Amino acid sequence: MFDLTDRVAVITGGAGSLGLGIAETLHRLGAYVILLGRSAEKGKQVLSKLDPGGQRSDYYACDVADEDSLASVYAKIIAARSKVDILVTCAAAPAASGKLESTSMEQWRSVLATDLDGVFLSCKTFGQSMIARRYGRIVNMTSFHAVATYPFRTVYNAAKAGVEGFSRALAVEWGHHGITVNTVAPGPIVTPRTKWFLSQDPSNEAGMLSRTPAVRIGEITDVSATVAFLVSAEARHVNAEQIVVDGGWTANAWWGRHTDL
Amino acid sequence: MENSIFSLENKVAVVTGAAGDLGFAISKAYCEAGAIVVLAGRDSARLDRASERLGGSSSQVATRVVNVADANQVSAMIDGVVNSLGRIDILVTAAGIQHRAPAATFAHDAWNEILQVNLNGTFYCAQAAARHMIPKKTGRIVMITSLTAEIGIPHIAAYAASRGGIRQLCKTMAVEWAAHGVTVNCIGPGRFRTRMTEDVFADETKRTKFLDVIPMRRAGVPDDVAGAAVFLASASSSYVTGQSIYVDGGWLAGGGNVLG
Repeated sequence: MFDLTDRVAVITGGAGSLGLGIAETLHRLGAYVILLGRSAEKGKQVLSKLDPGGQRSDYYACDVADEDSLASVYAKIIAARSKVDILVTCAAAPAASGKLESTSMEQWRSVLATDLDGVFLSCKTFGQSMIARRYGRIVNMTSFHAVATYPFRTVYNAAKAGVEGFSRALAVEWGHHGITVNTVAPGPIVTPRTKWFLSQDPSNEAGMLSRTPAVRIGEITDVSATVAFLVSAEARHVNAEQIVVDGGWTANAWWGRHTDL
Repeated sequence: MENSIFSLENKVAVVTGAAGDLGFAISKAYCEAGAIVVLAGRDSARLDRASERLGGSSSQVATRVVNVADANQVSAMIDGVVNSLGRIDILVTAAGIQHRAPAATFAHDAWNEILQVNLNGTFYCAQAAARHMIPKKTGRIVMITSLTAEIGIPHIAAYAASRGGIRQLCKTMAVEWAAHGVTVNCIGPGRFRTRMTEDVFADETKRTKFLDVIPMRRAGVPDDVAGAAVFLASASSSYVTGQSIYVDGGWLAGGGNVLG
């Protein structure tokens, strides 16, 4: 069960902490993993960590908001590996937060370009191989912010809710090709972004823990295991779903302290 | 599976409705993933047959006769499992019954019986299991709900109400027990071909209509829930709680639109 041997998996945002964590899990389950990221230099570093022998991994520098860049990488991947079975889109713009009144059109466009255009173009590009071979697994990363959120996240939420809606529509459209499209919505997870937030104020961690039913901040492996389930053969009838990995955060709107339960 | 991040090696799992199609598929997958599986249900002969199909009297499979609608029987069964096997790590509530009739004339006895088995039975089982899981600070509860928790389908008012109730029961228990390491999630099958739905599939016109609204263009089969059930029972899903995973081929997202 859950074996990914001989599967070719493309992970966008592959040099980021979440993308790399997902790549490590899929690699461990047997997949050939292909990471896409903006920086070729960073790619060499992550590959040496992920797959020191270089047996089942590649890295390509790519801008997911640029269709030509994706087309060029797609051609190289097909030439080298002949197919793409799995796509996980983790590429994300830097953290965006701020009052709507002071959000510029440039900021809006910039976030949507990576977070939403990037998902559209990645699915369109790598879906070609999946349609031709009548098999595919796509997981797009959203966020628990698409379900329950704070003030000052309008742009980010628009992008992630957009990805969720896009994914459901694509799932309905491509199901008959044998392709499933699902989303994973991480909640509070120990990423560099969360670490930065916690470092801003000593009370942030206590606040986050008391608000989270599981009373812990999730690990990247919590997210990567969920992705691994969704890209497995065993998830063949799970389609158009969003799995929130948040320790119960979005199931809960209770005002009390979970640390007291 | 021993080294897999989804391994259930040496975990003790109780599956209610284990002689039914979904319960059996989940039990089989749990055995393959390494768990010790207790098949629970009302009919001892059917449980014995299910047990035989899983390798019979091996130390990995046991059976318990229980009527989940009876809270005393449920707590005695769960306590008995803990006494004989030492613990309960995983509970799957797959026992369920169905009755089809127009809502305007739906017999109250049938309504009460469905709610008693499907909803109250799930509550009794989860409560009895959690009492053992909470002190251990770990546990996995997987409830079977249904797509009918989300959408209206004519003539199954009681069943749909019971499944919707299970979904909310799941969220409440998830929020309450997360701090104790106990996760509670649902699996919601869509249109599945099982003994419970065989009458629907026997009619070719109906069958075609049903499949035309499912993006994957096929009915679910019991083994389709096995992956989700193993994932939600494994250590790897410890941060997933209060969730419902619908195994419906995308039907819900299509909203019943004929896809052609």
